[in-house]
Amino acid sequence: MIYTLPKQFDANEWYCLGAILILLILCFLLPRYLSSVMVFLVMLFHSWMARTVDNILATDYPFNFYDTMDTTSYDLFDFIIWTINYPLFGYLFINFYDKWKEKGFRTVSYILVWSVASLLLEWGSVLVGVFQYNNWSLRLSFISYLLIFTLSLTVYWLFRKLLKTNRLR
Amino acid sequence: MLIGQLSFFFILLAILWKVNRLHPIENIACFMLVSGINLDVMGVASVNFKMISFLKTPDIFWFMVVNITLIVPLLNVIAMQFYFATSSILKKALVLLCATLIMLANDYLGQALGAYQFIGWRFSNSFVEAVCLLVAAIGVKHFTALLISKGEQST
Repeated sequence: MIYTLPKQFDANEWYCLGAILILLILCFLLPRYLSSVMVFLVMLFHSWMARTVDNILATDYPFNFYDTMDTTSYDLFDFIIWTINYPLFGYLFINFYDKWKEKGFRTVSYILVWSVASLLLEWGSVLVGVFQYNNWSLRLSFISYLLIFTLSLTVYWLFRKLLKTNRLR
Repeated sequence: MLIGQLSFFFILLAILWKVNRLHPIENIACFMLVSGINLDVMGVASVNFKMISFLKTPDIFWFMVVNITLIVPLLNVIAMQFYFATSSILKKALVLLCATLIMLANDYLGQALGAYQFIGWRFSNSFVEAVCLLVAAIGVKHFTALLISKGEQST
């Protein structure tokens, strides 16, 4: 197995699987407002961003701000979180932004609401052991979520513009 | 070393600007997928299997981040421009071979510069990884093009 298996299949693994189940139910039951290509791009972007940020902030050098799951190595559930959880969450974020097409102050409120929601989910994750903080805190997470969701919307608008102004060659 | 790496990145961007023939969304999708796969491969190889050892200095760390997440994916994206510019199987094979060799050279250059050391990582590992990244780039290009054309047809 190229990814390390969990030391013990316990609360943090069940939390991840439960989150996947809830996210999948939401994704399939709630209406989709994005085109297929946008869904793919948004999910790919969030997967890429999660991997990049975790690899920079959570490796043992130079920052080591936090660890995820049971070990400090590349766990199977690290792969699952990067590949399934974050993309689905990112999809829901962009999907409803696209539906409501928030502008101006409402965009700021939208980002704030999602940042608070993410923070609550992260707090639950920390309690069950999905994340173990070394030199990190929920305050830093909140600031990170504000930046990440802002970046996410910026990239979404870029994708929209590129799809609108370019045709397949 | 980091400044040299960043300069190389901007040179590659300029090359891509010059040779680009794909839809920008196809390029971005290729870039993100290859970057993600490369991160996983390098992470697993160095942390889980201890096949690659990195020098623990800030300069080298950022050198590796730029190399893994930016340089290698950009090399793949540029390769895709040439790959899809021709319908000849022979020319496509030649493009893939050149791209593989360039990625291999990139791997061994990093070692020669002292950024990292291959402990159990072999030439064959680099070769297989380079081929897999190119195949993934080709696959995601086709998939993205299919999704874009579906979107264009429906409008």
